[in-house]
Amino acid sequence: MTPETTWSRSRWAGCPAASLAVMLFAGGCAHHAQQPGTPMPGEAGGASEYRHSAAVTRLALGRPAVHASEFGFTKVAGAQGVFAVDDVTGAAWGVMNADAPALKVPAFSNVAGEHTEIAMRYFLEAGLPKDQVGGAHVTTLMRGGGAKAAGASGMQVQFVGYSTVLERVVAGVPVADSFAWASFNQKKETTAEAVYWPAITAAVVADARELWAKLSDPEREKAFRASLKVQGLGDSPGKVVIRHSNATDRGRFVAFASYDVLVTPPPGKGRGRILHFDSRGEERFLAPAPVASKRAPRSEKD
Amino acid sequence: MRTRGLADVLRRRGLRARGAPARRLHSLWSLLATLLLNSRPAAGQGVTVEAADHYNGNGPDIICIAEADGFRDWVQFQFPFFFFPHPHFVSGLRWVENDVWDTDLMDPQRTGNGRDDDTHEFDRPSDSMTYFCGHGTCNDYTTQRCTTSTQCNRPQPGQQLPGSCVSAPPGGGGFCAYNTPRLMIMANTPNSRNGGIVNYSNGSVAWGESVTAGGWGGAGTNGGVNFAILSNSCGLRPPFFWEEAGALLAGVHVLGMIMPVDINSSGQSADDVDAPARGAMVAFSYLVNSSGSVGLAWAHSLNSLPQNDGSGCPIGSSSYALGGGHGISGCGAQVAISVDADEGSAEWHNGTESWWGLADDSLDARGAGWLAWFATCNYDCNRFVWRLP
Repeated sequence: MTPETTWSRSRWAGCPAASLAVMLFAGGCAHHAQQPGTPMPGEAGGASEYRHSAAVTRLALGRPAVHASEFGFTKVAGAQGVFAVDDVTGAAWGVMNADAPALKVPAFSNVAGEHTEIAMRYFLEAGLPKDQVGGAHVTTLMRGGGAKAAGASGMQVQFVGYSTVLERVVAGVPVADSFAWASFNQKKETTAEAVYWPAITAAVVADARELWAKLSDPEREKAFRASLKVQGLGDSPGKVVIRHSNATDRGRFVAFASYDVLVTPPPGKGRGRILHFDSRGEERFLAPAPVASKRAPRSEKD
Repeated sequence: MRTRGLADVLRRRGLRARGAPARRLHSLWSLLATLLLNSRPAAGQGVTVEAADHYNGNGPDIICIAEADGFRDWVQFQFPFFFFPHPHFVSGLRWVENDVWDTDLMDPQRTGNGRDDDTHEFDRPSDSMTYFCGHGTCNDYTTQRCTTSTQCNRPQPGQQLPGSCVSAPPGGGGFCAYNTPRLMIMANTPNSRNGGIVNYSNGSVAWGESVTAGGWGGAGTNGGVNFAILSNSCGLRPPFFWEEAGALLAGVHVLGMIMPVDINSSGQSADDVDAPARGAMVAFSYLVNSSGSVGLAWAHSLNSLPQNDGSGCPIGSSSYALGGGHGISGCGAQVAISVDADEGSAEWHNGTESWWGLADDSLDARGAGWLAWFATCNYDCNRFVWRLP
């Protein structure tokens, strides 16, 4: 059997108080009892979880802060924004109000490396395991506009700020669906942030390490690709990663070592697709199986 | 420049003020609607999606339904009580696979064809938000090398001027792209009028025209969508915001799109790739903070998508050393676009409008004088400009 992590987590699992609809934050949920902003010890050989928390966030919440539970989140809401931790997955999200003054503060830096430095320090000081950080990169928020009469030639472009995304690596293997990212302004506050860094079991890590070692040999990779039941991979590049349920998935948690292949159609023939194969060569799906339209087949209209 | 009256400004400020009376009433209504009218779409609050995974020869299989469903399922999250007041959204239509028709997306007033019916499908007066996920086509670029956009004056068949010298890391020149009609592609079915292909740059598509928006868009006043997401291949190329996407906006407050940037000498273009979690990531911004910016929710959602989803930047790169991925192969961005009569109003929709505004047609755009946008690039597009002047 292919090693993988799965466990059931119903929509309100671990948070019975949430089913009572509204509650003031009182630490009633199982997840809330965990220490804030610290790595959760994992099993030997596995990768520990990190949970970001209101205790360590630098999100420019403003005051006063109100604590509440709704939509399956434990929230801290201030005058300028909301910091929320998902009661089921443990993922953390910081979203500013649209008119928050903190969003008008200039960016921390217009040099990507400087932004990455402060973001890296922020997460590591908050407790994110340093040995699971393989690197970091920026994304860039830009804005602009122009009058219709001017069209493309009159389109203005302006830098707003960077976000730095930390890259998770376990035993040398990237963990694709984990993330920790933040955007800092000049006051060294974050104006957006999100963290999802779940535990990975020892079995999955071992499987990933083994698959990585095996497919580092071009001949063995070639043989592995030949064994895959999916046709049409051609020379599409593949790589070994750990995949797991995404941060918005409150269903059964799944993690597995994957050989991911990006299949790109010929130029101009549509968008690309990422296929996942486990260590046995079986195709795996992270997205739920689609259901058909919810009404009877449509008939011709007038 | 046309400016809005004081009443408009105050109304907008009221919507943004936490705990304003109008908002409390809205919250009460949301609560009642949830309890009593759970299965009935309230006016202007529906969420409609159209998405296809299979294309009957119009393109390879992809994963789109999960992307659109993720948005729909979470943004209309049903929960009978909540602590903070929230705008309330309900189920609209959900058409997938062969139930996605090209006529659903086209505006009959614009096309003059009675079979086109966005009024009852993708741009219904009772809807607030819509999400289309499907194929597109990347026929807007060339392998003409350039160092300035003035050199881009040789459009290929199907392309037209102006041209743009599109550049990306590591810099040192670029390739020419041209203003080219952009397409939404779905399966070709017997119910299709145009082979499952919709041109949204030529005026066939107009979203968001309502009674309060007025008929300035030439699309009647029978629309209702205020936040539309269009996830397709090569949806837009910089800087052709007006030329390729402008006609879509006829009252809609915010339009989310995928914008590939770079091109290489092998004839490859950056492009959208499957990102099943994209829609849900946007919806989670609403669940976390409904007073947050809609435009930024779309733009920021790129950050939470795996870098592994999509190849490195520049296109053709085997590493992510200079960026890439996050739902896009090569260098690209998720862009939120707003159009209104004047700069201030367009900018307000684009950056300051929260989810509260989406269920309110009275905030609809009143003209097409100015286009504002926010974009999150999957690379350092501050250091490496996407268009050489």
